[in-house]
Amino acid sequence: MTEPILEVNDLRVRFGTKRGVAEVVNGISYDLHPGETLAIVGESGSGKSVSVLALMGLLAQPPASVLGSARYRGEELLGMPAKDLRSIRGKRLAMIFQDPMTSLNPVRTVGYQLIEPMALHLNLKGGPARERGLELLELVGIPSPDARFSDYPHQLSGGMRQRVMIAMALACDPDVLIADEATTALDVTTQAQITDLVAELQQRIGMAVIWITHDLGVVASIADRVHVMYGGRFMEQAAVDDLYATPHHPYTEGLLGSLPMPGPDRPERLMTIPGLPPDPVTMPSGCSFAPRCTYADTDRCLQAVPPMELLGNLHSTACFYPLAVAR
Amino acid sequence: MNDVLVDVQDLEVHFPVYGSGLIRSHINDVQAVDGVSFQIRRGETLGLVGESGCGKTTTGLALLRLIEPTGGTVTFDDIDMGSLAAGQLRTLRRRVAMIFQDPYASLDPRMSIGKIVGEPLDIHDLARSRTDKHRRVGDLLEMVGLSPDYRNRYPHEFSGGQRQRVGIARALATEPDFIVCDEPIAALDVSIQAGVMNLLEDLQRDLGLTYLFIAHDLSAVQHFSDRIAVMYLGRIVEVADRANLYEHPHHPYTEALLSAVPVPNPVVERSRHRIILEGDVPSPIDPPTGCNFNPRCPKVFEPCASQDPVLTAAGGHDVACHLYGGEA
Amino acid sequence: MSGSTEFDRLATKPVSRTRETLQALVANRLAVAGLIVLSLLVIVGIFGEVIAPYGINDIDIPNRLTRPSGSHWFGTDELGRDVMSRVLIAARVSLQVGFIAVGFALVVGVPIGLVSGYYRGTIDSVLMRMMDVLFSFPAILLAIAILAVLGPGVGNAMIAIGLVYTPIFARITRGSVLVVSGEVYIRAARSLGAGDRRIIFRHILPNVLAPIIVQTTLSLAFAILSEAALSFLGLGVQPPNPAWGRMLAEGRNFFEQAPWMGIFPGLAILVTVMSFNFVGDGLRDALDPKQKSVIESRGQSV
Repeated sequence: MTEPILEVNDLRVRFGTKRGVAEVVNGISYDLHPGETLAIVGESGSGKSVSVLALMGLLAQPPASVLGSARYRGEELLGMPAKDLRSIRGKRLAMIFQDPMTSLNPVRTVGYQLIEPMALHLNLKGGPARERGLELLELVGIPSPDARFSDYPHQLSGGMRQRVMIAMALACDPDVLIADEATTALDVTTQAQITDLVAELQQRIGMAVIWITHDLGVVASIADRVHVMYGGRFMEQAAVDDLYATPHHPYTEGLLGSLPMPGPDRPERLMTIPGLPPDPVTMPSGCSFAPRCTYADTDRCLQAVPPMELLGNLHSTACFYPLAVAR
Repeated sequence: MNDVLVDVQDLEVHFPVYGSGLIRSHINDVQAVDGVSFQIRRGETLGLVGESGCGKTTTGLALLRLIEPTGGTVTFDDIDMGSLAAGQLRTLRRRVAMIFQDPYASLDPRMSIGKIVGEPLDIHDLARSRTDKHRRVGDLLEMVGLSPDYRNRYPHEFSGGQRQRVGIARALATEPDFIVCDEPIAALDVSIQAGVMNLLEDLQRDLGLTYLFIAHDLSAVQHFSDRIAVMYLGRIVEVADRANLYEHPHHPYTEALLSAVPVPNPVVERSRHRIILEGDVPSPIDPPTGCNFNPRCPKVFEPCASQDPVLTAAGGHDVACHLYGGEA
Repeated sequence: MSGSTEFDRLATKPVSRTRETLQALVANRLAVAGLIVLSLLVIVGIFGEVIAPYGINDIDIPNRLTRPSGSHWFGTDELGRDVMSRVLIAARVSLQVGFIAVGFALVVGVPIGLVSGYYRGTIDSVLMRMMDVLFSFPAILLAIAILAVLGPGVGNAMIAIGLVYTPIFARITRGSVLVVSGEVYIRAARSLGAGDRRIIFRHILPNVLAPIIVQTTLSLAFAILSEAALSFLGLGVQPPNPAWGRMLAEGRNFFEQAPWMGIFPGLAILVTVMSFNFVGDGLRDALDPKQKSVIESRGQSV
């Protein structure tokens, strides 16, 4: 196993709000290896997006406060001086977001925005920058890149804009691409195009990808490893086949059971998870999921936070009463 | 009693586009819904699925005359909806209802949920007295899994899933026969979606409802519907029952759509052959000549770019494709 | 099962938007100060004669133009009348004109805005063009022109100022109605069979009140200022009734000898207008939906 390119240890993010301190990320740890695709899956409020924003140093502190450690190639990212962080962010660690319309500057042409990271990090300008820009547009499958170069974001479709974002992210050959709900706002056929594209580029360039999403279908189609996140913590970490075949955590089981499975047979009634996700300002003591868990034992589960324990080959769960359900 | 409750023939909704300048002449049309026909039988659920811009939501709204159709007919229980005057239409609205996509926007923020659910009873004068109305509102809230104790609360105090339930209770207040569900779960978290879907299923069974289920999520549509109609750029390209559509999709767009939907099963995903479509969905202002899908169709051939295919029966499916004899 | 229900998050008592707004308003110190001052003003307006130590016309020539002292806190004017009593009693007129003028503008302007914004089309064009005509005149000029036609006097001043402020209420109402008309819950009401009347009065009006309320307080400030300007020009309240604006005008002539004649009415105008502004700003902030709780965010990825 090669050296991990990213090591996150006990990452915590808190926000000061009018109602009190919101504990949005409550101690997550994971490694990312070169070339692998890691999916962090969770619903809204799970803290998954905030955790990667913290990694990239994109959270204003205050009102946020970020604790723990995140090392990129051995260098600590959290607390790194802004100047040094800027030379990593966009160059070695790149990010694409959910809504390309608001992440792209509407008053600048596509070409201008594409060249910006190159000018910033690689000191490329003028002719050579434009050439590389056109190369990138071709790489992400945009037809007539020459014409698109002088277009504005609103002149392109959602799928095209997302491709432009990917091109911008790749401009400096990053090691790690973080995709934060990058296909959530896209139609399913466009989503297929984009996930296909990222997989293909990953093969070609050899970069690692962290995919943040709530869509368990997308995860199944692109991930090598999966971390399931709930209430700011990881509930389960496993290789993708293992997670779907043998989920050990009740939350994972609930999530998988609540999905309609396409198929010719008469559909079964969907599983539901009672209750609501926790309010980050009033996080329950003990396991984040315990208040909604059908298997929870009030004495133990509500009092203490279950540690992440290895249960099988690369498969860990944070649960006092893990399941061993074969699906 | 006729078995067909809703009969839509050649429904058309074209929005005019005006030029700029002093004389704002009518230069073009957005052909949002361009000749859509289907039937819904009593007690069944017809799923209407398609991607953004295909016109499915507009179809649902035009069905209930919340948007006026520019062509075609909609017949509800043998009543021609287009011919109804305002008063008659209002009376008819007791029998048809709609559930909206956005639980945050579909409830008046200034009304308590009790008032929201009770409003249809006021509009149609259905409650015999205040006590009667109070009891009925309580029953409706319970029916959707909400405690009547909360009737004086306001929408913003509830979660998205709970608000959607309020919207459902409101839709049920007049005991309708037919409900148009416009993306009812799209805005909800995954673990909440199942609860709302189960509720809709239970209500259908218990109350004998007929549904038009509009969604872009093919898995949800497939789970929930008896028959499915697939829309692309304002037209229906295929109609089939759920099992048939899944196992033997006829129309190339249906095939591409099915193959693009990711299945939550990594082993299956790896072994799938994905059909990746080229390009993007064209604009409904300027649809292609002939079949709307022809510029992106992997199976395009001679007649596709010049002739509009017609929805024809082919082996249990209705398909609008020249591969299956779509000539007029 | 540990029994957390999905209703644990609900507060102990129903929280209507109105309650939230009032809570937010009360938290704003300036707004509270403004409210206190305005309440005092209203009391003065109602009980002016009782509170004031002297009458408005207690002429006392031997004591004319005396500076502020124990017996005349604001001094006396050129006829020996107590300035403070006149200032206090003039408050009533200012408030009357302000409230009635703005009331007029509301009663005329809001329905115009409702009809325009809801029905759109030709009626909207016609009504808005009419509003544009009124709007295009500078407020004071328009008021003066109207009074030139109607003749000077308090009642006519109220009508004049009311007409001047009608377009802004129509505009603001119309703008909000346009936004609210497009909201899904309006379409939902239609789907239930609600008619235009129910939709306009039960759904649209309550949801467009916020900007109208804010504009009302701000317009009250302006109306009082306008009244002062009109009476300064001799067009509003007629002598011997006191009015702050006219007192300013009269004070001008005696500015070197008795500056207090102008200063105190001027201060009265200042304090009143500022108080309305503070309350108006406070209301605007309290009603601003962006200030609502963090948890309400819609589907933002967290």
